[in-house]
Amino acid sequence: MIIETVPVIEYTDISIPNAGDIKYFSFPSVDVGYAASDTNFIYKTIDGGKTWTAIKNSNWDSYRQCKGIAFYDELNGFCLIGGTGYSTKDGGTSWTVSNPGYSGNSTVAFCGLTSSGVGIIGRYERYGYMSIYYSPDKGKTFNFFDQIFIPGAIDVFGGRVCNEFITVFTNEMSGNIYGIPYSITSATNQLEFDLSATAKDFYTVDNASGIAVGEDGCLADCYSAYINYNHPIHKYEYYSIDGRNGVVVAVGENTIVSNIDIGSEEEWNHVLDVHGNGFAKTFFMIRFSGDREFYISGENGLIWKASI
Amino acid sequence: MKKLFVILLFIFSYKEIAAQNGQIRVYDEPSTHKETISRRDKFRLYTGATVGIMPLRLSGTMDKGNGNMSVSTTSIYTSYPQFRHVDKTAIVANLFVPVGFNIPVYRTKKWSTGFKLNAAIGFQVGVVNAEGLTAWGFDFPQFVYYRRYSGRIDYSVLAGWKYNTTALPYQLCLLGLDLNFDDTQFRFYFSPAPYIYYRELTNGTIEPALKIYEVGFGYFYYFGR
Repeated sequence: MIIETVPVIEYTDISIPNAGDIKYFSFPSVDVGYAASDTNFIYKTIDGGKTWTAIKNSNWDSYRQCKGIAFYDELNGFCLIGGTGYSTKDGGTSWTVSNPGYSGNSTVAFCGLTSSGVGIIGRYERYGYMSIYYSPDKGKTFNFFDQIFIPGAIDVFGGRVCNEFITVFTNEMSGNIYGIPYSITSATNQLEFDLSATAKDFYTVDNASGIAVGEDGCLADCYSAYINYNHPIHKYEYYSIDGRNGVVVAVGENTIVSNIDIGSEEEWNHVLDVHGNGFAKTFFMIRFSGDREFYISGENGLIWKASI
Repeated sequence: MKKLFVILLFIFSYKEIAAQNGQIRVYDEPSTHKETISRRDKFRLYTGATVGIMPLRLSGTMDKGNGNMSVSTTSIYTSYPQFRHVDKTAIVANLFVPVGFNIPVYRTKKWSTGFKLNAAIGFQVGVVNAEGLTAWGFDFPQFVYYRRYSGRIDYSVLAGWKYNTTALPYQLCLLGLDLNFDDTQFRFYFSPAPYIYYRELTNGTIEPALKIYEVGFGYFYYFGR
């Protein structure tokens, strides 16, 4: 008799030795991947993570951490370092500044690719405005698309490109958080999700719903403006969430959780390793590469190729 | 003289043989034979008590976090859980009061065979590492027996199966030994193989989560002769 069903992940450790915390990565193919540590290095693998090579650009020396990385394919991609966007068309061998309109008064907050392959950069412009730029030429240049206005926001610290939507976060407005799914094809569908904790990531399900994760174990279904339902199962901090075809996984400090159906619909459960142990690591990012396959990055160069 | 000796020898020999036969015939005499067998093994109602010890082999994940619990509108959870795989043994004791029927199916002068059908009510108590397993329930042990009563010890060998409906329902194959007296009986039994609860991992693996064994003894009183 089956007494319980346990969500587990199997993973292959493809971590980068002596690297810092890996907060961003992009795997355009099974073999080729790029990962950004909290130093000014980007690491590249061409053998599925067996070996990694550090990519360093002299322009990056005076900056600190990478704020995002996105690759269209094995050769073409862009990254955000020190508030500036850089693009490459040769797999990281050379990089050029891709946002010449950058004034120095704004802060690049996030970047990503839509599911249809449009490169997005989000830049905070003060006073609650987040400017959205899109790239028509695989990251070489970025054009202004629209602005998202968050009333009263002093700091807009992040955002997420998920599926065909853009979401930005702020921790202002009396501690409430506003995530805004924002269609690149229609700038009129702007929603606010009023959470009770600081959001760190947002997985957009459609143009009216998604799942937010954040501090204090915040894991909230957001169905429509101002309506959300929290799933508190611990108080660790979440950093990232992603999913595909209904299976969603969130990661964070000492935690991996999933809504994978084990008999209780819409229940979130702790995910364990195949030996039944939890995880005593901090994970910063998760991105699905298949229906049940995904990559996870974390502290001290951690990168896992995993499946659930 | 020689003929007389032969006749006397024949008579004495006949008497001796007759005496031996007499002893045997007393046992073999048809009406007495039935009475002996029926006295030793017949359809009878019995009741009594059984006490069982159940070692449980637990293999699973436990939260070894700080134990600080938080309450949401829907559940109680540990604030900072630390999940670790553990293997440990728990012990549960049970006490059941059965009512049963001894149903002989085939009898000879030395042995018999049949069924012992039982239904019992009772409870089990968690003794070691078995919180939450104290409960009332029902127990349904059923046996096939082979009884041998021709020797100095009247005993039965049992093979059976039980179904139990207490806190954690389980089924077990059982082997046992009954020591039979006129109206009473002592029983020792054990499970040669565990009942296993499994867990299913989302990667398709199925692995044991809980193994239940049982060993016990019982005392029974038989009604009617």
